[in-house]
Order: sequence, then structure tokens, then C-alpha cells
Amino acid sequence: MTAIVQRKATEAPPLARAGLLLPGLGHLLTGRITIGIGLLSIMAICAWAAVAGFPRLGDMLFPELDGRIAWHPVVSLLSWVGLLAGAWHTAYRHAFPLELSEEERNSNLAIFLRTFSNHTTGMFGLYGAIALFAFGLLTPLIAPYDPLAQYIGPKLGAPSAAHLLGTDYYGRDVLSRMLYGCRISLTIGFVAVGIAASIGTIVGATAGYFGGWVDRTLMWFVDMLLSLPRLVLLLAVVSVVRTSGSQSIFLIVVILGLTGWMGVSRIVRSQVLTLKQQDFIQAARALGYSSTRIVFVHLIPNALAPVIVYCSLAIGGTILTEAGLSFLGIGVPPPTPTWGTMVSEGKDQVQLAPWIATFPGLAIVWAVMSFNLLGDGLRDALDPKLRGR
Amino acid sequence: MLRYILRKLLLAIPLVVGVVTLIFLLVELSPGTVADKYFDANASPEVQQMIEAKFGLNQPVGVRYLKTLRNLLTLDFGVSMDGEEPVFDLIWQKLPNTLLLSFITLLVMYPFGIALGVFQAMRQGKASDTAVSVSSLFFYSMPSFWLAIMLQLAFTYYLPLLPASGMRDALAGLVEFTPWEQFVDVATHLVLPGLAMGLAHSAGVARYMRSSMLDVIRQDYIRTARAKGLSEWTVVTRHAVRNALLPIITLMGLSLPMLFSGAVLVESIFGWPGMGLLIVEAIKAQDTPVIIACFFVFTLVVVAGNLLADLLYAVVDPRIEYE
Repeated sequence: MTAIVQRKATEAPPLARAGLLLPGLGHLLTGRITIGIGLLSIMAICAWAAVAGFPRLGDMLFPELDGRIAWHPVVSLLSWVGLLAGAWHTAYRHAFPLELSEEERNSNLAIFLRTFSNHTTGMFGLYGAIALFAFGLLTPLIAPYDPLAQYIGPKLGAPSAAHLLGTDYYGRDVLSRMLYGCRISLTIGFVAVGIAASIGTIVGATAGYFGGWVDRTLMWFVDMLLSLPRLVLLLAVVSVVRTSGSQSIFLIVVILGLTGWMGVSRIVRSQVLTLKQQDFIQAARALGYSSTRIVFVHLIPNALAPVIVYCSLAIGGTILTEAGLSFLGIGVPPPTPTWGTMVSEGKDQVQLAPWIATFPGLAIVWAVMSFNLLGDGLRDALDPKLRGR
Repeated sequence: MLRYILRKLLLAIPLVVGVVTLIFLLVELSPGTVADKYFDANASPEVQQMIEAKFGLNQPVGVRYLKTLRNLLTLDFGVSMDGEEPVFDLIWQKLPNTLLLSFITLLVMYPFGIALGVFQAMRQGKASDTAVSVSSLFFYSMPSFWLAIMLQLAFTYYLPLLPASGMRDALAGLVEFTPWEQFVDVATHLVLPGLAMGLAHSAGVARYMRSSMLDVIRQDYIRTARAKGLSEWTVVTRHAVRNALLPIITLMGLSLPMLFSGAVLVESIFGWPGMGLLIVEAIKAQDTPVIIACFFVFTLVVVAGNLLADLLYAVVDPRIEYE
């Protein structure tokens, strides 16, 4: 991202103008390599996947026809289109950068984007996360086998050309299962952290804004929950709810969300405590705005930056916790492939077939590390005090 | 000082009561009542009533709640439903093992993490700093149970150096071990679980220590120390590290719940006979007295750890006064 060729669209050479249709192509034809190559390769991969996985395209469109876990086909297709459009836009803007005024260049957003894109490890995290999403979205196309189909390969087969990451005890393809596990982990991570962040923000803002006994009671509750080991608390909650019958991904997501909001509420509270002393809140009060309006319209939006950072780090933590729950056998129920379950299943055959437990574990490390790097990068870019540290 | 401790202890009481209430409610809300599990569907009503009376399940919820609280206060945890063993004895056997594992992990991993953090801060922005940052993040992002399995594979199968699981050698019960042999025996069994639990921790500590050091190193008193002509080594060890350690002490208090969470996973892999294993079994068997007692003990240990951290903080930092 460093050496951007600053050129107006009108000054672009004829071949590059042809690249308007396919950014990067023009530069490629003139022998230069730009970011547009990325778009070209994504298109090539998509085209390859569409051709290579053609029989499976039907599966993607009609997921209810087989036993696989697929996202809604419309969502899947839309995201696919979105991925391409995003890559096209990036490549296009790279070839023809926007002419920004002085004011626009110094806006908070522009500064944030510039700082973040110069943050090497943060960008690595972003790419890692995007790659995970790409895998998650394209899974029905690129997964070589049905993740639930048994005995499609040898029992405990070593990695080979037919099964790139080997097969497990029931002769299921480890790579396919891992790809489907990616969706589960990402879904659980995002939705659970979304729930946690919403609850935590509201609780923290309430405690910070109203103060007094409200603050003391809420923070007492937060301290109490924080003093319990989270995994053990989750174990207790899940085992209680599980006996009532249904045990689904939905349930795990909700429980993870309901037990993960304490950190956010502390952060928001401390933000609100400093914000509410400031003039604009006094002004809002003087104007007679309601408490609800002040909290939701004036306080929370201004306290969000550290919450975003925390969320990025919490997604990694949630993925880890979910893996731990699945490992203990009380997470997502067994036929569904999740990374934690896969490690747990591979545990007993780890000496005979180390690949079953090793690769899903590496996938967890990749996911968690990506979100941690992303969070670090976001923090450095959002917090001017920490810049360069 | 004494008043400070007393006040902290008084503040901890509602916390502990709250935890017990929460867990009691959770167990109560469990739809399949505890009794269902221990009754044969064909058992006669008399037998049912007998068992209910034995565990006090025939009393109203309020009475049972108050009784639970009173019993916990007198450390009378009742008998477990599964084996009908006194819960106090169960915990008395298991708690020291978990504490041993946790504290050894803390004692080894904190200094290691602190040293790494100082090293990184001294080389801020250089290649070695980035390398350590990235590799410590790698361990920080690692699920402890996976690391445990990988360590087991590496050091008991590929390189058979260390025992794979348990806390004592199989021979320990049969052959007379000298105290030294006993120590070595437990110590070798500690290595792998300790590493599995602690590596992620020390990575976290290193991250904290690095940023804390970077805060301190910019202060005026460091500049003064350098201006006095002290050697860089003295400046770092005597002036910077001491001040940078303060936030780490708070972190130590907060890391106890996290260590216990890790213990649940690591103990179940290494068969370490501790609280983690106990509570997982109890939750699976819906053994109410054991569950409540375990949570109670966990909370007590966490509260004690936090209090200890607070006190240590006040001892180390003379700027803090007991109000």
C-alpha cells in the first residue's frame, strides 16, 4: 500500500483506461504488477471453483437437499458478489485514487484508515480474517467432500492427494470438516460478541450515567460474574439448559453472549464517566433531553471506539471458549463439525493419526490470532496516545 | 492496615453470597430435577420419599437455600449424591493439587513473561521485538487443550522424556519413595500441564509488561537516573522494572479465574486429580452439593487472591494508602 501511483483518470494511458473494466489488467498488460492482480486472481479462483465445483453449485443453491450445513443460498451468493465487488472497488481506487481535499485528508476517518493501513501486523490480521470469511463463504464450492459423509476414505488415512489433510476415525475428510467448522466458529464468534457488546454497552452506559446505587449494584454484579471462572460457569449453565432438551448452535451462541458482556460494560462505564463531565453532555441536559436520548444518542456513540477494539479481541476469545466447550463435549452437538469437537475426536488417536487433532487446532490459532492482530491494529489506529507503541 | 483488610473482607461477603445464590438458582432452574436422576421410574413412592428426605429435597426452596448458606458458612458441604462421600473431604483432597498446579504455573510463568516484556520494551520496534511479539501472540491465541495434546504427543510419544498423565508415578503407591524421589516424581508430572496452562499466560504477561515498561521508560525519573550517569542495567532493573511491575500485580489477582478455567481443560487431558476434574464430573452428574461447594471454594480462592494482590500492591507502592 506504500507506493501508490498518483494519477488522475484522465491521465491514465489508454491501456489502463481499458482497465476500467477490469482494474489491474491494464497495468498487467504494460508489465506492471498492481493490486488489481489480486482481483484478477480472486476472479480466477472463483471461476475455477465454479467450474471445478459445478456439481456442488446445485448443493449451494438448494442446501436443504443434502445434510450439509449451508448458509442460506441467497446470503451465500450475495456475499460472494459482495466479495468480488469489494475487491473490484479496491483495485479501481488503487489505480485511480480519489482526489481528496485538505479537509478530507485530515478527517478522523481518513487518519484512522491511513494509520491502520500502515500497521503491518494489523493488516495481516485483517487479511487473515478476510481469508477466513472467504473460506467460510466459499465452503460449499471448495470443500472436496461432504463433511458428514462417513467412510469416503480410509479409516485414519494419512494426508494424501485425495484427502489433503487425511481422514478421521470414521473415514470422514478432515479438510472438508475443517472448512465447515470455519463457518460455525465465525458465526458463533460474531453473534455471541454482538450480543455481549450490546448488553455490555447498555449496562455500562446505564451504570456510568446514573451513578449512585445503580452503578454500585450493576458493578457488584459484574464483579461477581468476573470472579467466576468463565468456562466453569458456562459448563454449569449449558448443563442446566441442555437437560431441557434442545442443544443447538443457537443456544451456545446465546449463552456465550450472555456470559461475555462484563468486560464491555466496564470499558463503557469508564468512558461514560469521563464523557459525562464534558460540555456537550451538560448542553444536552440543559436542552432538556431525556436520559434515554442522552445515553443512546450522545454517550454511547462517543464511547464506541474502545468497544470496537475490545470486540475484535473478544471474537478471538469467544472462538477459543467455544472450542473449549466443544472439546469438553458440551458445545455444539457432535455430528456438526466444529474445530473444538474435531480436536477432541482426534485426541484419542493422536499417536496413530496426529493430523486429526493438529490441523483444526492450527485453524483455531489462525482465527484467534487474526482477530487479536486486528484488534491490536485497531487499538493503535483508534487511540492516538498509543500510536507507535 | 488491619481495618483495610477487614473492610475488603466485608465487601467480599455479598460477592460470595451472590455467587452461591446464582449457582443455587441455576441448579434449581434445571428442569430435570436432581431427584429424577437418582430415582428408578419404577421405584415405590416410599423409596422416593426416603431419598428425598435424605438429601433434604422435600423441603421448600427457601428453606433449602437458607440451609445451603448456613452449611457453607460452617464449611459443612454435605455428602455428594454420587458416591455419598463427604464433599469437604473430596475438595480437601483435590484443592491442593489444583492450587499446586496453578501456583507453580504462576511462579514460573510470571517471571518468564516479565523478562520477555522487559526485553521487548528495551528493543522497541526492532526485529527482535516484533519477533517476540508475534510468537507470544501465537501462544496467546492457542487453545490450551490443543497445546496440551501437542505437548503430550511431542514429549511422551516422539521424545519419551516426561510422564503423559497423572500426578504420581504408578509405582508410588507400591514402592517406598524417598522424599526427594517423591518431589522429583511430582515435579516431572507437573511440567507438561504447567506448560500447557502457562505458556498462553506468560505471553499475556509479556504483552502487559511491554506496554507497562514503555509507559515507565518515558517518565522523568528515568531520564534523571540516566542523567546521573547510572549504567543502563541499573536504570532498567532498579528504576524502570520496579515501577513497571505495579500493574502486573493487579493482573496476577485477576488471572486466578482464568487459571481455573484453564485448569478445567488441562486437568481433564492430563488426568490431574484437581478441582477442575472434580467440577466437570459433578456438573455432568448433576451432583448439586459438589457443584455448589466447588463454586463456593473457587470464589473464596479468587477473593483471597484479589485481596492478596491488593495488599501486595499497597506494600509495593508506597503512594497508595489504606483509607
